[in-house]
Amino acid sequence: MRRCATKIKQVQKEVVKATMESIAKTFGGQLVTNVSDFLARNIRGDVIAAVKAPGMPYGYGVVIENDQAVIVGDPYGQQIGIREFNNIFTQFYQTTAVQIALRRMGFATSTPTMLPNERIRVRGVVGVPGIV
Amino acid sequence: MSSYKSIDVVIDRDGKVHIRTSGFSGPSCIKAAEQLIAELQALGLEVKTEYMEHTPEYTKAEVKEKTEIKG
Repeated sequence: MRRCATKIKQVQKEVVKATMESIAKTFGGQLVTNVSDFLARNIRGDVIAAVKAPGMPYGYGVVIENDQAVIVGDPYGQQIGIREFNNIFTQFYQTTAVQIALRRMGFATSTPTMLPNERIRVRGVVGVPGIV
Repeated sequence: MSSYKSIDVVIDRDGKVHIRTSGFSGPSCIKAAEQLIAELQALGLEVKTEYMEHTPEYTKAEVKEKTEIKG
């Protein structure tokens, strides 16, 4: 089992859960409560949320250590490596945070759009076009 | 002038975030971008502005503004 710390500090549990749900939906997988290794042994510890999907059949999870999000999982036998999942998690966490931030600012947000080159776009709008 | 305002945010896989605003008057677009950055920081993201570009519309009533930050 490996661990990979993210750059996200002061991480919030609810944002982690929403992020993992979004990853599961995007990658055609499911949200689960634990991850296992190649030998089907479950990881010990407080996993906030985990995802299993094609390309990551044993799953990756998130634990919080010292307010920092840490990815846990066994990359052996999984197409998506733990560093790659770390990048995916960070990108999706940022996307979720942007949606929350825009709503706090009074903007209505769109469903995130996947763009070429693995980019994600979120649009926030307020007001009515053409109305003075 | 329309009351319609929008903020487009594009997030790269490498963690870079690009913000583009439209429909704001004058420097209010920068305030909106700064407010968004502050909200993101409050949500635990380490954000700093790396690059900022004003379009020619910045000095007009209708303004578009772009900043690039690294998360």
